[in-house]
Amino acid sequence: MRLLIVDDSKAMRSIVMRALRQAGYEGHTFEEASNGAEALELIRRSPPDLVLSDWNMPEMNGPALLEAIRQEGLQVRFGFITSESTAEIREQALAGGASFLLTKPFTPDSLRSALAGAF
Amino acid sequence: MSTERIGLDRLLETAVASLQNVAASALSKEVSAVERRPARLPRDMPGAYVPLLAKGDNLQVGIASSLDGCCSIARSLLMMGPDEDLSASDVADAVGEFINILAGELKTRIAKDLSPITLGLPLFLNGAIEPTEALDFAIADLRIGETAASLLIVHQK
Repeated sequence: MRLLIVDDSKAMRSIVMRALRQAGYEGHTFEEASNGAEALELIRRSPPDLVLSDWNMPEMNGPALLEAIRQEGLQVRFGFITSESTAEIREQALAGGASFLLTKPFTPDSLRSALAGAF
Repeated sequence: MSTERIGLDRLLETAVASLQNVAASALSKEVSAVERRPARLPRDMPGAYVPLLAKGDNLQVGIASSLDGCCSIARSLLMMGPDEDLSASDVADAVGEFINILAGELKTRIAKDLSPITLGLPLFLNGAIEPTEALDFAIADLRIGETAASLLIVHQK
């Protein structure tokens, strides 16, 4: 399985990848993008099985990335991993077509549960 | 509702509570020795700040420490040992991410009092904010584990 991790923080991308390994995704392929625009290019070239995206990012944020993916008809599962966790943000994420919104900081267990719900 | 009604003191108290929660879960550290500091900005302390933009209000929440303190926060967040290499850029990125997580928790806690709020992107400053008449501050000195740090709320009047 290919997972695309989208976050403007290198530290957070590293934390997500470590948590994925701890959650049982060792051996899967992880790809990285530092904003939505970079991620969209990667997705157009070769859609991953799942996108794990931050909410607030420069150039193109997470909601704009999700909207672009849906508008272009790209068939990609999508989840948010973000420090944003208000009810409005959660509603916006799910209404936009995200499978889940996981709030930072998270544990490998909560990540495993979120991913299990996406497939 | 504006900052005038929620008050900088209450914002700082809520930020401290958010920090206690986030430090425990993201850094596995306890926050202790919390002491409200007179509104004098820390000097020679690098730190990371995130804007919280609400209707009619422009706030920043920040965490400042010594360079060693910032390294310690970054190492804890990244679960790195003391001998592993960490560049200045990695420290800035990690401390920025830490304050971003804290700002998200703070936003959730104050959303009903100060809404709608938009979070901006974190910025790492290797220096000090210069006080002006246009700025109000609320600052708490504290310890994150063994690391001395200051938690700041900066309000642009």
